[in-house]
Amino acid sequence: MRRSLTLLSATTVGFVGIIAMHGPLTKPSSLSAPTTSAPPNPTTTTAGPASNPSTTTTSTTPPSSGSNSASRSAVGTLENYGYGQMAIKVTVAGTQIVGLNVSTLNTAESYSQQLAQQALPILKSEVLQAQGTKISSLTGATYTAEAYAYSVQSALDKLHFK
Amino acid sequence: METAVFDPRRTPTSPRTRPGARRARAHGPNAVAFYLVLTVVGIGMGLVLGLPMVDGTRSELHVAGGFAMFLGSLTGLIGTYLALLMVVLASRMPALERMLGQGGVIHWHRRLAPWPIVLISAHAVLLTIAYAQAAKTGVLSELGVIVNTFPNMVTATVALVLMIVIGLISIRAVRTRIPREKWWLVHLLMYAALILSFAHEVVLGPSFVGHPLTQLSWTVAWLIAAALVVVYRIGLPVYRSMRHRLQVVEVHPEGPGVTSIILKGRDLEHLAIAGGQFFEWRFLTPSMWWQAHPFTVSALPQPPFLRITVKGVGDFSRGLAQVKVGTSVWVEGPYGSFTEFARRRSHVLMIAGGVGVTAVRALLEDLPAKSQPIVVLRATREEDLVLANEIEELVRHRKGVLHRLVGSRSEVQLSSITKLVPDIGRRDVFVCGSEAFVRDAVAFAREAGVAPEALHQEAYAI
Repeated sequence: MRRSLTLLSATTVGFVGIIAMHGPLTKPSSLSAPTTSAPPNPTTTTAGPASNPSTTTTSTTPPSSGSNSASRSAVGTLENYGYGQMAIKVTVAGTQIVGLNVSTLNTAESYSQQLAQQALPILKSEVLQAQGTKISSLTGATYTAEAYAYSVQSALDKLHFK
Repeated sequence: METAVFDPRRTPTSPRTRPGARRARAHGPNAVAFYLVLTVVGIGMGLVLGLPMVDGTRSELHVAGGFAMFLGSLTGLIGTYLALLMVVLASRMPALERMLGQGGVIHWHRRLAPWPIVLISAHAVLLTIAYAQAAKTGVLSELGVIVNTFPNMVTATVALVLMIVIGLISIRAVRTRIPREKWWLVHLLMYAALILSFAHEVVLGPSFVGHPLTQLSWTVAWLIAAALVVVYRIGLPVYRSMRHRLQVVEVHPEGPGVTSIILKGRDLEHLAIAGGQFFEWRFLTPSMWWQAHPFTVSALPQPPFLRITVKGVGDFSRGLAQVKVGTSVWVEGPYGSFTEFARRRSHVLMIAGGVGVTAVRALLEDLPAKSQPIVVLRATREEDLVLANEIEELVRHRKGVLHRLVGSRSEVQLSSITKLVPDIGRRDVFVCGSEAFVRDAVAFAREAGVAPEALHQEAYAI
């Protein structure tokens, strides 16, 4: 009896201890929180519903060279992909896709988060190069690539791009 | 000059004259240390339970497969933590052995054993389901993806298969059908399984990825457990064996199927052994060197001599009757808490079934003079009462009483002991014999009103 009590109270101490160390449960931890890799932007767009496709703003970021038209951006739909959810923010200037930022990335565990973070830059450069969503999917990141493409495409649709 | 031969009738003047005995005595059970260890174990368990709660956010639970993912991580962590405790127990660290008392560390090792395997299997199933839900694919195809594309998952899968096989052969009904030494060899593969599974834990575990402190603590904990095993299961036995250089000097029959082996060694006066303890014995012959078997020391060392008494129940112990004089012997131990130091009261009752008399024989030597022990020897036939003369002598020296209960189980009831020992409830009771005998005798003693802390048992497995 005394033994079980000792064991139980020690377990409680350990449990409470680690929770206290990391802060309350609801507070997102630094790693696997909804990650926004976009820099803070005073004119952020919201992931608008389909009925409100004109969530376009004038970007404060300097337009890319070679295009004088103002850049516009939109956040694509939140896609459920293999190991989590993601939404991509697309910025276009004239007929050019000039910016791709991860607006939301939720994964069920950190390994998938890591994988996604490895895959996303590659996917970004592929979309920028192809200037569209006709990209060859990455080996080993098929779901991620699909979700990325869908989210980008939905953002492009919102912007009436092409 | 030492006596040239081992004298079974010789009652050592006092165990305190042997430095080794003094050392064994100095390390009695320590309640404070016991609760300290219990606290450390509990805090560890709390940390392991808490880890999956802090490694992510609640939103992750709502992602497809998130809940199964969480449960899978939790079962994996708890299972592996229990496996860590089992490794520490398997190291048979002498301090732990003394602390855990009755049944010793191996008893706890056995009691814990099913849990890690069940939990780790659940962990594998839950995470496969979780990833299949997340990827919206079938469980079987996702299993292929996990094993083939996730890092370190091939080794982890091999480890899981090993663990399940070891779990299956350790189920009582299966285990009793396998020769002990073969079972033991297969069961050693658990170390391989734990090593193989380690990499995937820290590379893939949600609680470890991106948490360097957790990774570090987990690694250090396992390195400590591994070090304990290496030191206490390999290092210390090698050191002791080299130091004492035991050799068989005499083999003689003690009764039907029972053999005494007398060994000669160096520095035995420094051997910290208490009466009732046993060693794992390794006889260095071409056919026997690879297996070690537990045998109780049937008389405290009479430097340079030491004696064990063995009943031929398995191939190995039967083969011992033929062991040649001059054979070198390596030992691991001494182990066991069936000793004088476990005693809580001034008076004792010892109940020995069959060859269980060996432990009682050595334990009696450690009892103080005039301790008036009552000894009950139980056997089916008169000739099975081995070492009875030695016991009689030792009991007489301590002003005690010896009872012999001879006959078949239907003729002799253990409950008749209550008539022989009316004050049984005020004595410490030591029971030694086969597993079945110990079970029966312990049940009897509990019924007769012996408190659990006053009841000490040592069962030898067949």
